[in-house]
Amino acid sequence: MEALIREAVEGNTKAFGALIEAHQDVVFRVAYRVLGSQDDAEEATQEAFLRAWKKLSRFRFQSTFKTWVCQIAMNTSIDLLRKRKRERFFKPQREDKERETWLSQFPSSEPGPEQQLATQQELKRIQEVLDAMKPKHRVVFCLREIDGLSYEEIAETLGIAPGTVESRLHRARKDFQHRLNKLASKAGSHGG
Amino acid sequence: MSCQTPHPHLFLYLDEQLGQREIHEFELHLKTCECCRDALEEWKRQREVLSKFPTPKAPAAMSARILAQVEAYESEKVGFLEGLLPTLKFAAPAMAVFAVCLWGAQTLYTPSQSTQTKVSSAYNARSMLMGDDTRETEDADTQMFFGGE
Repeated sequence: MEALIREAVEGNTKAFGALIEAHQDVVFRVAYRVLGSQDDAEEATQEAFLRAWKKLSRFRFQSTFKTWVCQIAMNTSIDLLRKRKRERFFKPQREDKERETWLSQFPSSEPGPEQQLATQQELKRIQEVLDAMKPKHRVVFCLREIDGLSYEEIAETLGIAPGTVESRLHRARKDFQHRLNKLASKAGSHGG
Repeated sequence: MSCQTPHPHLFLYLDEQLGQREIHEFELHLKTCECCRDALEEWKRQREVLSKFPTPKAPAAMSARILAQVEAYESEKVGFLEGLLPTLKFAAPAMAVFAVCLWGAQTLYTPSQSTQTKVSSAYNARSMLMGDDTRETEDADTQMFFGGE
């Protein structure tokens, strides 16, 4: 890997292509966990790798390439998220429609249509809670709870200490539970 | 015994981050604490639901697209430098002429004389404002200040 990075630093685009191939999934996952949208995650991933290429001469081998490029992806995704929030202020419909389509395509193992609907509603509620969480909490939470990464893997991906993962995850879970309960009580009061 | 809020080891237990002794202690605690038992069950159920969310994967053609962008950026950069060269061919002689003019102007311009004039003018202005006519001695003062003879 180090040889590939050195070749890429010297301007070898093919070597950089191999680095993209090896890291695109993890970078895309981080971007997706921040942005919550396939299209936006693709855009952020492309931008992150392009930024990485431009800054490659500044890579000092003090961290792994994975950590470095994931941090770039995290920053790029947060920038894009801010941009999207500004846009959503003017076009709130687009995002909702995208979500509805995404949720309806969900493969469901539930037996009956009523059960499937209930599962879809629960997933929708969880998605709503995930969207409302702070990006840095959401990323850690999703990487652990959905993607099943270990504390060490999350720490390496995000370039933070395992202790920070633990404390951030603890806060994220509390926040998740709190928001979910709030949403459930709100739905209950509207229903009843 | 029942906790008001879930035990701090609850999530570490769920994530298998506890040592053997701590696991044993927490499992003993679970037997007596209803709050933690409920919280644990709730989180297990929540995890089951969360596991239904797919793990995102980058589209297959994405790496080729990114590489194409990188190559386009590189060729743009080379193109920019190549475009800059003819401009430099004209700009370099022009800059040389400008530097010679600047040097010539500097040679003709004597800083000590000019500074002396400015000091004299300021001295005159001060004298006029203060109303005293000390201009008679200004030349002597200025000369002393500048070490004149």
